[in-house]
Amino acid sequence: MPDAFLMGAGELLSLGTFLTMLVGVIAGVIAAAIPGFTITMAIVLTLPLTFHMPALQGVATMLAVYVGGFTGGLISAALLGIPGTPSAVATTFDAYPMARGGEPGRAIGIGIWASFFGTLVSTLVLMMAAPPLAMVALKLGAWEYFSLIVFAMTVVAGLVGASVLRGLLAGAVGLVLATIGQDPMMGVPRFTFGLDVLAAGLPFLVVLIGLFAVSQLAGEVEDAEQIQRGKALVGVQVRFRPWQSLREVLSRPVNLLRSSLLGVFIGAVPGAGGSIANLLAYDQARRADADPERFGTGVAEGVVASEAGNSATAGGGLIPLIALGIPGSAVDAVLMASLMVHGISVGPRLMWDNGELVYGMFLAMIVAAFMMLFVCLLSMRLFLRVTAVPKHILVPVVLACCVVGAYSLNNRATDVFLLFGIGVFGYVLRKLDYPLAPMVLGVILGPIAETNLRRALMNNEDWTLFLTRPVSAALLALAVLSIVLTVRHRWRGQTRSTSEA
Amino acid sequence: MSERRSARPEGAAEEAPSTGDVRRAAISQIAFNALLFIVFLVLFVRAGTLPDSAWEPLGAGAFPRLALLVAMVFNALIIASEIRQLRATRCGGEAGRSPITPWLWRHRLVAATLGVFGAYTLTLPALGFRAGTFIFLLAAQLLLGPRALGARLVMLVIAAVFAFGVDALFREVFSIMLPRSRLF
Repeated sequence: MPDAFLMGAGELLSLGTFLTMLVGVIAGVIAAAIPGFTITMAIVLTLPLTFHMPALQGVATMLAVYVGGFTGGLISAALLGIPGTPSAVATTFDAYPMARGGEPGRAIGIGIWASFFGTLVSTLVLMMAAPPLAMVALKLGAWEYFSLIVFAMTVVAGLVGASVLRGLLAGAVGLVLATIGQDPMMGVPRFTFGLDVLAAGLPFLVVLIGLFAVSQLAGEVEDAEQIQRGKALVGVQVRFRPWQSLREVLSRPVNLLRSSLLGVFIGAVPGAGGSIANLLAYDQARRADADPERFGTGVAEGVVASEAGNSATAGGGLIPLIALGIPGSAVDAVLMASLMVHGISVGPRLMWDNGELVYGMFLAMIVAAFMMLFVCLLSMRLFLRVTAVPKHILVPVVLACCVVGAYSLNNRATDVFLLFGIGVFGYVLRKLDYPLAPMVLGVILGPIAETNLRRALMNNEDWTLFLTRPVSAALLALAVLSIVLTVRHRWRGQTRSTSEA
Repeated sequence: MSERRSARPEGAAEEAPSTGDVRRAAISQIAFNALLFIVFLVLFVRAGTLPDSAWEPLGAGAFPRLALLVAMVFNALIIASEIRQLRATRCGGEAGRSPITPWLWRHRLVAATLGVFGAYTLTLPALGFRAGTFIFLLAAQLLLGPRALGARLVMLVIAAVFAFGVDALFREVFSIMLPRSRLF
């Protein structure tokens, strides 16, 4: 092991690799900061550029884009209320209100430091515990996966919005939307009505961009007088105080560590973890707080939890990849493709057959985290100037970026048509006070839930296994408990406000 | 935590909704959920015609039906809750005045912006990225922005730089071809 570590370090710590990683971090930050572009697209665009690099340099560059992208997603989430990826959804809950309340610099500063520490914690856990954690993740069968999705949906539905019922409905609508297109097991077209635009289903990134970005931007132009007077996003002078933000993050060590660890463990669950880790971390931070009602109004605890949980999924997602050869997310699948292009066989023996590569990847995550910190602290004042751009320029340009993002995913014009339709639907939902996060997650997690439900019953038609398998039963019990606690909490709040009135 | 809270204008204090506002909100919720319920019911019936599988107990229609059933239950619960809300609030002096026209007037820019955006997305395959994006950016900025000549010149530059610059960037650097015009 020490030899492999030293060899990996030697290969990583070269000028060429450093330079490509630095460019990767900058590209990741910029790409994810532009609404509609997403981390996934940034990684996919980086892949062909790495073909001519040595294996470790190529993977390290892509990891740098990945790490940079998480923080870039923070920028659009905080300044525009538009999450760059599903893993930045929870960041909009508090970073956006904080920014719109006149403190965008504080929101971004706290997010950068929380991201940095989240990445470091996840890399340390990755280095120490990858194989045993991967074995735990491997023990999750189809029953456990389905129950995990159910639990995640109930947590999210109760997390946002004034009404639990509307949150649950939004999640259910997301599940319904996910069934449009081809059935995942039999390939049978469902609810397409013979239309080409629906034949391939609703790509979840198009749904994310449409629901959050288009509807949010439409909401920005409601005040006609202010728009035409050249109003910008934030009307006060923007201050960026990184060292004060560092103190704020470090003064919340329990939240930071808990959110990071949750991000790693949940991020290690292949396929589902990355999307829900930040929400679960946010939920836990809210439940542990003495005054949970503050969450969602722009509190530092919410930003710390969401960004630490979010960034920690970078390391978490690598755990099943390195230990078992199973990609934890779409991004990890692209990383896997990069390794395969370089002739590296990805599987359970990766750590033993290519130890220097694996340790090099661990080090690359740490180096990328420091590079991200350096780049973001230096450039954030430039990004914060976005808040001074008048809305009559910002809104059309960002809408055009969304079109580019939606089209580039699959080179399909129908995705752009879907973007518009979903955007209008998202605006209607906003006006009727329906939370959008559960719907996006329903679209992402629906296919996973369906596939695992059907696989579970294909293996064994006994429905009671969902309740008798311990982990599955525990997750379903947590789901029920989550709804009961949320309803009870809301009912108590309503009773209290009625008696005070 | 509500997204409505985050969209409140800066410095504005939260006013308590009037009885009329509460009733209008309840009626909107009932109408929206009733519409969704009907759509879901149609889809539920349609899902019943999807084929079963010989290798598994659930077929192609089982999960959609489950999700649709759950959604319809929530629709019904929301409708019931809003009807209770309606009954609990009395009709005040605002009864009889249609709120639709003032609402549409207040949201005129949103409707216009979405209209222009919709036209852009639908004509993108025909016009191509460069022409379509240039026209959209110019039209949207003119719609939303101030009328001063200097501001309009800036809008023209932004539209041109973005439309042609992004196309060149994606083509030359990322090797991604954005839509080409079918007309010219």
